[in-house]
Amino acid sequence: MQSASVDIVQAGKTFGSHIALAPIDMEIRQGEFMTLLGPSGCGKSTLLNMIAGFVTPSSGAIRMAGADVTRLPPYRRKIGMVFQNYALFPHMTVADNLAYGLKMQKLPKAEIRAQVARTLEVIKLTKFADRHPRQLSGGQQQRVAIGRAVITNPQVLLLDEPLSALDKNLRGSMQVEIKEIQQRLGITTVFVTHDQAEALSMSDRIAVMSEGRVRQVGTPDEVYERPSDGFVASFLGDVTRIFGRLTEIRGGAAVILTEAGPLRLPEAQADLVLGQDCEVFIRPEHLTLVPDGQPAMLRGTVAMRIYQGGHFDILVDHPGAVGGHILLRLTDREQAAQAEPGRQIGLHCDPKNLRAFPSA
Amino acid sequence: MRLNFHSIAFWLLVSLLIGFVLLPAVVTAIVAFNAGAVITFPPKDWSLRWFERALTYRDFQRGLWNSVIVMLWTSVFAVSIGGAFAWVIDRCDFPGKRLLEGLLTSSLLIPSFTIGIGFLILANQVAMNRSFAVVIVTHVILVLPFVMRAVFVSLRSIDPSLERAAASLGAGPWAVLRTITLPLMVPGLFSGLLFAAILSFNEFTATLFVSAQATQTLPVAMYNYVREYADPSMAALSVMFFVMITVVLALTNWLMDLGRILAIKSQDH
Amino acid sequence: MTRSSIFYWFVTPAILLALLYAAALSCILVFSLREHVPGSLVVGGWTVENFSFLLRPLLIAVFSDTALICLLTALATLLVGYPIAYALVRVRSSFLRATILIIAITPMFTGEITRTYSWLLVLGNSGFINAALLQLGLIAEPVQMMFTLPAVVLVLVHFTLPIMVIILATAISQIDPAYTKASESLGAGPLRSFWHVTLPLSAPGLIAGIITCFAWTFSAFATPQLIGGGKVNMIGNVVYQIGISSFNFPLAAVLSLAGVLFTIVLVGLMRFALRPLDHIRVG
Repeated sequence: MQSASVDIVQAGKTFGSHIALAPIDMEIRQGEFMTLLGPSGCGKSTLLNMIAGFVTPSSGAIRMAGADVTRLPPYRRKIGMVFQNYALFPHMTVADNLAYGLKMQKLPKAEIRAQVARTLEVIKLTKFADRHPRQLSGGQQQRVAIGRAVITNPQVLLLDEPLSALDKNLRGSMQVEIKEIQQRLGITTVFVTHDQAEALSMSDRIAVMSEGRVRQVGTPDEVYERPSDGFVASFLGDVTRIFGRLTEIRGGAAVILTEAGPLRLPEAQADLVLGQDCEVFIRPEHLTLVPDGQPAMLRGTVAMRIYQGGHFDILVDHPGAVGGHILLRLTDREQAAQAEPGRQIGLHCDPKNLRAFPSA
Repeated sequence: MRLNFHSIAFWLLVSLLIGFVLLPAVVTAIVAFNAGAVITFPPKDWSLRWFERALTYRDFQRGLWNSVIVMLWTSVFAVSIGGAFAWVIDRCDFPGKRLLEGLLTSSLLIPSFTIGIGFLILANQVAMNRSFAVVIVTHVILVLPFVMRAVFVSLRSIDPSLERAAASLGAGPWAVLRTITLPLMVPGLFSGLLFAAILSFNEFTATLFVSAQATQTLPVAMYNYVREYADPSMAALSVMFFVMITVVLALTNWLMDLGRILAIKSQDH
Repeated sequence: MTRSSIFYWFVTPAILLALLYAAALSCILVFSLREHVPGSLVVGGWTVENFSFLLRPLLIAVFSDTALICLLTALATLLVGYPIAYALVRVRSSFLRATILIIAITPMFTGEITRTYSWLLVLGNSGFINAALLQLGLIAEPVQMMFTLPAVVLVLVHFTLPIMVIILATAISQIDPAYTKASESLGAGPLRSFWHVTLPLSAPGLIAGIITCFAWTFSAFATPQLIGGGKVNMIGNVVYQIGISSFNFPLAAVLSLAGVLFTIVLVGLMRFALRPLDHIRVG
């Protein structure tokens, strides 16, 4: 079966007066790895369950490969789904779990056996075919769940926070495995997660969601480097926010007056108006130390230096920053050595990396 | 637990209370093996004659046969109706759900003599007062809350995403029920069946109202015997009862851990 | 939610059964309002006369005795059941645990008649206790225990004990042992920890246990019939006398109806009275 594109057309869901998902449009391309990212309660699971058919939209339509599936129950849609807790059938062996979807298609026994054997090989669990799920480790269970979801060659693969139950070390290698299987099958995939690192590393595109709305859809690079609003900017990666007010717009560039003096942004955000309160967003890795005696964009006293293994996080006291600190990330040990707690330091950021959004 | 004054006192108390629970069974056993027709303590002679009499007494034999018939039908009806209804309560919403659930579990609160007299009058109205059907329906009503509870507990312990996983793999509602829900409900259905069978086999009060001479169950036959005779045949029968029940419970415990069925977790690890 | 055909297949038998049951209960309601024709099962015209029967002193005494017996039984069962339930949860050996559990819940499954009969053997004038006391020379004459209210309560406690133990053990087993450890780490002895931590946290179980035992005792029939021997009567015994022995269905219906209402009111009152305990529950 060919993998399919998924079109979401003005689909929304309300429960009574509660809006779980405001009507949205989204186009998931054939073979694409699309991640729905957001905090819990943002509507990402509702959207996934709508694509799966477990939730019927209150309005709008869902199309798969161009065909309207809005009213189709899950068992008539050609989907494969991996659940947060794997949902492996506890009363069946690994092989029976894998065979389940094929049995439902009433395939001949010999063919089912052959396909199960093939899938067992792909997920490297041939030796475990006759075990029950509870006799497997978390990672092995995860692989069975993925194998079971893709064995029927679905049009769309749906993954509902599949990695959140694994411990941190295993999560990294499972990310790679999922990505490998997805790429080999070229299957359209919708992945739900609240973990921004996971979203950035695995996706072709990310839809950042909050409060039942899609805030931004874009490649990982786009949403990280060019966030469309303050929520997206602070949800993905770390960020320092500095209070200010827009005082001047000249030729597309903006001047924002902050506690640290005026900051010049080469590209002003379109939705900012003159005199508006706003916040300037700075990524920690965009800040650099300025040698003593030279002019600096920001100045402050080092409050804390935190060793993070591969890098140092430096907290710099600054009255204009939200939370009272600027976060600076240094990978260079010698530079980090200079940022001793109690010392005055100067910081610089290339203005093109500054973003400003209206205050919430 | 350290052996100190508190724990010694506590376990002494528990042993005493356990003794209280066991006392009547022990006394009954002594009486059952007593040779004389008049009950004396301690017995002067031992014998098995009362067991023989209990097993050959016509009313007991017929009562046992009736009880088995009623128990089998009650279990089948209660488990299928109660099991299905527990599923409905867990999975569906419909107008009147609370009312239906309340009515079908109300026999926990409504005295069984009330239920007995109600079905007696009803049976009388439709001229069915001599049939097994009345006894069986009464029993089903009485055991239904227990069956539903047992099934409900096991339904609740089924992860809902299992059924969704099955649906995502192409299984329609009946296929999900047959391949996922039903197999996972087996422990609940089994304990429900056990509850239904034991409670029905022992039911007395309501049965006294709705049974006739021909449909008299074993407990009713025993009641009539106690009122007329004082010999130890009843003790012999009771001992057989105790032994049977204990064996069933011990087997159940060995097979499926009673504590888990009753939702008692052990602590102190 | 789309409704599958399973729903209709599964709910229909329950509805049919409920209709039968409702019909039986309505019979009670209807018959309580009909005239009794002596010597016949056929009833006469409509009347409310039957309800005046409830006001006879004899009936008032039966109702108050029933309530007293139920209350005493529920409280005594709590006192007997709590240590057993506590032991069940805390005992380490799984064999000992299974043994205690099986012994404690067997009375629930042995049936009213067998159980009551065995207590006749224990409590009778020539029964086990009197024989033992006589032989030890502690008494000269058998003590009359049969046909007394305490004896009825004692046997009923034996009957309600299993359900109490199950409810309490479930409640106690849900208490995180860390609470007790925390209390002991703060210097409280085992008794004080129990009093201040375990007991209050098992309050939901206490309430459920008392109410369930109360309601169960209310339906008692064989025990007061055989142990009370006509001297200690509960409502069930009177219903039986009137309904089966004198075939006065209308009066039996009135009494049953009163019995149901009485239970519901008393259980409601107990819920209300025990409400302060309920607040101790910890999220």
